[in-house]
Amino acid sequence: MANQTPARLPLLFSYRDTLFGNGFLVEVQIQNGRALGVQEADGFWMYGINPGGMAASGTDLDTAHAAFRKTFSDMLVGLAIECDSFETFQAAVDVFARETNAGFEPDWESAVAAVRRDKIAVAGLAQAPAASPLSVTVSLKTQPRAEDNVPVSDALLAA
Amino acid sequence: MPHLTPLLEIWRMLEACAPGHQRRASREYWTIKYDGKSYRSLPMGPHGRRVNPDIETGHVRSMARHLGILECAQRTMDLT
Repeated sequence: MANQTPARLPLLFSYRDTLFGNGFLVEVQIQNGRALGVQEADGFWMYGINPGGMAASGTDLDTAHAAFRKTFSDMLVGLAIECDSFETFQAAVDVFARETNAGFEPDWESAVAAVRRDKIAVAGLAQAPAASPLSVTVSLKTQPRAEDNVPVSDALLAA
Repeated sequence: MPHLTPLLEIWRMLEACAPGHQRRASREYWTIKYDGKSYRSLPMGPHGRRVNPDIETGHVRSMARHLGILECAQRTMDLT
């Protein structure tokens, strides 16, 4: 089993955020979002596949993922500012998360094939089935807890 | 070393490759809408909204693929 970071990594991520909207407190959970990690000449980039409308970079996978995670939260805050009700926010998050970057999707699929073919493993990155279904849940938060202040963040290698 | 592209060059590319696109500024990012798609994480630059900040070219790579204008964008600017 190869244990080195390849130039392209097919990633799955699951995040949970709690944030304020206009007149509501809300929890957003995305499970099995997809991103393609690419070692480019100008750093390590994470290109969103779902959601397709965002990207972030760092010096390596860890810093790129931290930047991607922060950008995801920033996108939610931006949507919350744009929406005047829970229902419009819920719909906007669903559209945002499910929008696919079709231009990078074939690269993500071929990166999955490479992980399977070459039995690629990345230290600290557990694997999950590439076909794991995307799930987006936006729910009103009626009983906030102190733990909600800590965003949940998890990344997996799609295989 | 980040590869940077001046924002005005990105606007010129979008005018050529995504005619009729819409752009809207929020707190830290531009949202670009074209052909039913939205790219939401184009940064405004390190100090918020300025006239022509340098933008990490990776965002242009991602945006061009997402909006379906990659070939045109590559003819207009260096995306490597």
